[in-house]
Amino acid sequence: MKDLNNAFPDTPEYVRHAIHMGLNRARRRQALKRRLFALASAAAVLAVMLGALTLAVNERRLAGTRLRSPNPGPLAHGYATDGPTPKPLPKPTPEPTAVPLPTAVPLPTAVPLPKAVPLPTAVPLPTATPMPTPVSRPTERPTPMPSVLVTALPTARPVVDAGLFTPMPTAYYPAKAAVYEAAIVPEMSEAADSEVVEQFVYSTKNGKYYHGDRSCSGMRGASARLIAEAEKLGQSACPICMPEDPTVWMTRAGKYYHDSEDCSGMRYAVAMPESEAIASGRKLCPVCQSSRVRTLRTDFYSTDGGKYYHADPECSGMLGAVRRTEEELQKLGQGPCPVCVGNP
Amino acid sequence: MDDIQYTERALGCERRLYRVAIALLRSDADAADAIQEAVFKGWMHREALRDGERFEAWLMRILVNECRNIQRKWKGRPEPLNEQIVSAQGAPDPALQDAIRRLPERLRLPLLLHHLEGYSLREISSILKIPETTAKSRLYQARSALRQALSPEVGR
Repeated sequence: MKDLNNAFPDTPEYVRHAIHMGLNRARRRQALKRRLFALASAAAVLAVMLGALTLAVNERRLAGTRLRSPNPGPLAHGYATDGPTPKPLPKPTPEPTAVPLPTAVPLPTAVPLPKAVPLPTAVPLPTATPMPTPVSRPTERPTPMPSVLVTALPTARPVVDAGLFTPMPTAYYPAKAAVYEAAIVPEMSEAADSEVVEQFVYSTKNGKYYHGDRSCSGMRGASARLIAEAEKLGQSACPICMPEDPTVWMTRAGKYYHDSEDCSGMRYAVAMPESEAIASGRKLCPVCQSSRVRTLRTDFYSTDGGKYYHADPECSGMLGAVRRTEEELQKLGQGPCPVCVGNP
Repeated sequence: MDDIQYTERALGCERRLYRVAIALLRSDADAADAIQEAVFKGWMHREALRDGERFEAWLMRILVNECRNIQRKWKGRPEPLNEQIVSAQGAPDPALQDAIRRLPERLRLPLLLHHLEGYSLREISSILKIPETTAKSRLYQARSALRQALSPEVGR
């Protein structure tokens, strides 16, 4: 058989050239692939970073939206409440810190001491149930208002014998300031984790409620006492002047805080607890206040021939006012006093 | 297989690549395109080659596929003109070249792969995707046809 190789001429030059061209094309394609892969990797990293950034921004916005939502939950705006009664009550600390304090500057009489220590005043101490001793001490930093610090209480609320405490002069305790003392004095708030500030309230001996405002509902003859004292007398918080710390609304530049987000056409309101609004120096909007009064009160004061009914029995120098129910007032055809009740 | 190894081995089988490409396509330009594309694809997928000893058969298979791709494109355009067909003048034996060129492709390729390139029947069946028995049969037919085409000359 013939040699088939003779049927083909010598390998032309273009074959080698074609092989080199194919190799060069392949190398260029590979380099392009690598560049594209690097670009894609960089883009992916960038996208992840952008996504994380967007997520963070959205979370902030979402937090802002939650704060502005009409019915934020108790924890929605970051303010935790202790339970059904959000008024700051003494919290039991896990480790009693009954540090003996220097007694060089004791408070006048409200210093409950252990039984072993002879009391300077002949005040009977509760001995039936041994309780950890609430130690009252002055704050280390001078604060504008004196306060009583209760430490190391195993019970949820401090029990202070009413006889041990002599109320401080009331001039030191403006009504609201006394109620929301922890909010007003930031230094005290910082110490609130381990030491809880006891609040002063106002009440009469035979009253049903204790109040944050000593003139609430025309109250007279009220004396200041600790919440624990008032509760021991069977009194509860006044729903008018000491409601549970509700969520209120206010604008940055506003003078008042409001119960509703759109009170008086208000816009861009921010939600917060009432104690915080009070601490920022705002007052309750008169419209919302009158609404609260009308909502919570079931009885008012009025004279027989009067035109208005009043929340304050001595409003505008009124004499001889009689306590009446809403039904009686409707029968008399009397309207709300624009001063103490407010316009509907 | 790295770039250098691939380049060396591809250049080492350039003669084979040329003969197969020209036997299938009968045109220098198409043969050059097919070789370039086969080398390019082989380089891109060189990691897929498991057995380095079968590199030539593997590259030949790619080349045959590329030649068939080009032949498929011929359906849209006419086959290479006669003047484009590689001239027989450069071949040492123009009569043999002419006889081979006249063989149908299904006979020509097994003949070249077996008697010229030295591939076994199994390799030919693998390259051409045909059964071994078919390859053997076609080889037999190709030899008979070539013998018949060259008989006057042989008898001379």
